[in-house]
Amino acid sequence: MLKYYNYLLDTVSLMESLFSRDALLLLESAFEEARARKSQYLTSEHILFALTFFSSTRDILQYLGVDLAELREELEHYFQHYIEKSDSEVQKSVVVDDILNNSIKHALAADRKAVLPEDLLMALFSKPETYAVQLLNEFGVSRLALAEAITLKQQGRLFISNTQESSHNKETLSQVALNLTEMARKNQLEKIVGREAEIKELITILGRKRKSNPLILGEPGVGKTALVYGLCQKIVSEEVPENLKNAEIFALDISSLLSGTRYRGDFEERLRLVIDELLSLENPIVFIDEIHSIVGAGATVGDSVDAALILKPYIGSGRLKVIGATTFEDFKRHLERDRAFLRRFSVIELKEPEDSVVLEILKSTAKEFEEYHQVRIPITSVKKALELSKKYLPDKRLPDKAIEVLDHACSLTKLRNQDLTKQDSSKRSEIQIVSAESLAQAISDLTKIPFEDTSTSTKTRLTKLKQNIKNKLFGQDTAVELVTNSILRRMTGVRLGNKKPLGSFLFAGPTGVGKTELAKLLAKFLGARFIRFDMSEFMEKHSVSKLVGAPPGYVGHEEGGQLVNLVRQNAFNVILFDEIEKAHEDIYMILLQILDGACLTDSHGRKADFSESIIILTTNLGSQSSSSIGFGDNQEQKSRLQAIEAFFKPEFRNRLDAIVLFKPLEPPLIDLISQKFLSELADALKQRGFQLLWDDEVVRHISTKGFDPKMGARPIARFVEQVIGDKIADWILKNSPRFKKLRLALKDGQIVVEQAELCPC
Amino acid sequence: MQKLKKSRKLGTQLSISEPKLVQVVFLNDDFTPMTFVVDVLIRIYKKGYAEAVALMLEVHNNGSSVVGEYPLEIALTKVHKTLSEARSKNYPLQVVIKE
Repeated sequence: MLKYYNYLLDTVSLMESLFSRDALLLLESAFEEARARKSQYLTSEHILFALTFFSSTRDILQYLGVDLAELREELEHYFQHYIEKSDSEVQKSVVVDDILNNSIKHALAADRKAVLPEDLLMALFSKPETYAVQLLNEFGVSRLALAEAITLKQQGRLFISNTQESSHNKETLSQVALNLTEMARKNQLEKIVGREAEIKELITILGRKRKSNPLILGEPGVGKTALVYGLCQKIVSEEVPENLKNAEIFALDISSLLSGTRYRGDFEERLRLVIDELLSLENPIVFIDEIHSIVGAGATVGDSVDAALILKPYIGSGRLKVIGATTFEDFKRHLERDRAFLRRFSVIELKEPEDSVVLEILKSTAKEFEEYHQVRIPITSVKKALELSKKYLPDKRLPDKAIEVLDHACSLTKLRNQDLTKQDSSKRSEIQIVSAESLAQAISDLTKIPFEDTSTSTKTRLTKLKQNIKNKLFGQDTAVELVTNSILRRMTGVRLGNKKPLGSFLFAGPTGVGKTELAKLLAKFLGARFIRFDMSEFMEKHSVSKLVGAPPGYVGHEEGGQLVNLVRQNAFNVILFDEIEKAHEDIYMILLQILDGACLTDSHGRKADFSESIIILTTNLGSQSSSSIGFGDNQEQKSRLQAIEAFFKPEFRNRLDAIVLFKPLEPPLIDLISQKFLSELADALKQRGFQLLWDDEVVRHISTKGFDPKMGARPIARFVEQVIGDKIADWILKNSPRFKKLRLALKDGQIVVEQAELCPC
Repeated sequence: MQKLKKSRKLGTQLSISEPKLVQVVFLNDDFTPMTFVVDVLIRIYKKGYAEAVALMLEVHNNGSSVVGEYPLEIALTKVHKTLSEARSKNYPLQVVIKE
């Protein structure tokens, strides 16, 4: 390899060890460059040329802001025009001899044993009259700057940004765009089924002379990108007219075009480079997904130069064909503003495909899923996926939602299979079938709605609902029956007529009898999310905006409404509007809408679907007047109903499933309630390792002390927590950790805490 | 001599000048043989035979002649080679560089 090695050593008369291996290789390649160009002499320019390639010196030059490609071009120009050709052996110029000598001197002076490539670069400056130095100066490299950079390099503090070289090399296009036709050729694109008519329209528009830029509009998930994939596949299989046969479609990624552009002008430069590169191709078509993002992309404050503006002339003149894709919403919000840009496009509206088409698409996707997930998908499951996704995912679009459901179900099935094989390895080889159950489970996962036909756990949950609630809520059996029956009826699918919430009830009754408690228990045992709105916070007219979002122009518009946001996130809720009579009248209007159409639109126009939610309103209207426990039942109920009828308008009452009257609490029940609260306290203590015992005497004491007929059960809770809780805390502080068992007892009309073992019982 | 060159880096313009050229001048003397001068002009200065003879005669008749314009480094090298060849043969040939 080192052909000139001896020659070098002879002529400069050096010892071998004076040049590092890198430096020798560098000189070697400089010689080769000179020879390849048949140059008469090896000059300092040849050395500089070689230096631009060696990693250490290249980094230094780049750090100093030298455009390496440019520098090499200039040197090439010099070699061509100023150095005479010769067939004889390349000879070193006298200047090169001096440079080599100086590099050695420099290295020795720096106490280094061998010359590094950096030393050669530095030594170039010892002959300032050479063209190499002249060029370096013109590229902004001074002797001092170079010395600084070399020092930084030796200290390991030389950092160069990668973008500098990348923005100049020719690979910009491949960095910011995917060649879709190439991918189609390699079979990397998903297979596209159906959509023949739309693809034909796409081809027709692309075939026009002017304005040959299609803009595909459609809801998310209807297959806008897939349409372009379909076109690519058609191009590859040559099912397109002559003018598209050699077309190359590039998917331009605006974000990677933007990323790393730090300074004013970087973005424009990159985009220009990409456009230049595209225009150098034979028949380029650019596909820009989410094309609304290029309006405003790269623009700075007070400057309206954006990607759209730069692209405009190319698109308008038909030099560059662009396929855009965006949703209706973004189209309205961003694109319609820029009419000059829009004028150059022809819109293709992409609607949700027909069911039969979706089925075809699904069948083809199912094949891919079968291979990917190693499952079997029967045709009935494919149909079921379509059916379920249509029913339960109304705010998403076909075919995307059906594919999502199918994919999720496949994944679930595979997971279940893995669990099984873990238990029993003999089942490994069996290929699992994606069943209707796993599809239902997938829907359930995606919507958070528990399913009538999902897993057995929800089934048992529903059957036990009534009993579970009765165990926790005392004395309101009629109310519980009414509510649970109604909900269970709806949940098993027995529904009449138009869309309504899963349940809507007005709970009426005095305070503390368990209205809110019932709502909470419902949520707990149904597995729904519990959302509570305290209507005392909704007394003013403007508070409606808390639910549905502030109108445009008002503070908080961007956040949207609490209620709509919550229900959109999670379809299965128990929504409690506490003390509804306190709310402002306008809130009723909103509620009317929810109760009747099970639908609420916020100030952004987003819809929330309440058809899987349970709406519960509570009130204590008409209860204030009633005083004693055990008042004549019928008469009391009548007076309360009258009060409710007088307060709520008929159209409001009419829309409720039922008005549920809660009875005031009766003494035997009150003992039960006291018992319940004590158990809760005991549960809390158990977690800390304490055991709490008590007898009936204590319970009766709590009932008499804590119960207030006007206030219901709440004071009992307060009594248990504050009075008894305090005493227990006291006792624990004094006696812990010796004794872990404690007991409540009644002494002289006072509850005391004792250690349990001391007691004979 | 300066040429403005539009860089590929958009917006920035690099001013790249062509290399500075110097003239190599042969001076006449009465001792160096004509054949040596012609030979040097052909080998080192890449002249054709006719041009080399004409240049040699010009030096002979006018006392001096510019034989070419080169970048300094090239010129220095050529002059160095010429003079070392002449000295090794004991000819007092004078070649100078003129800016």
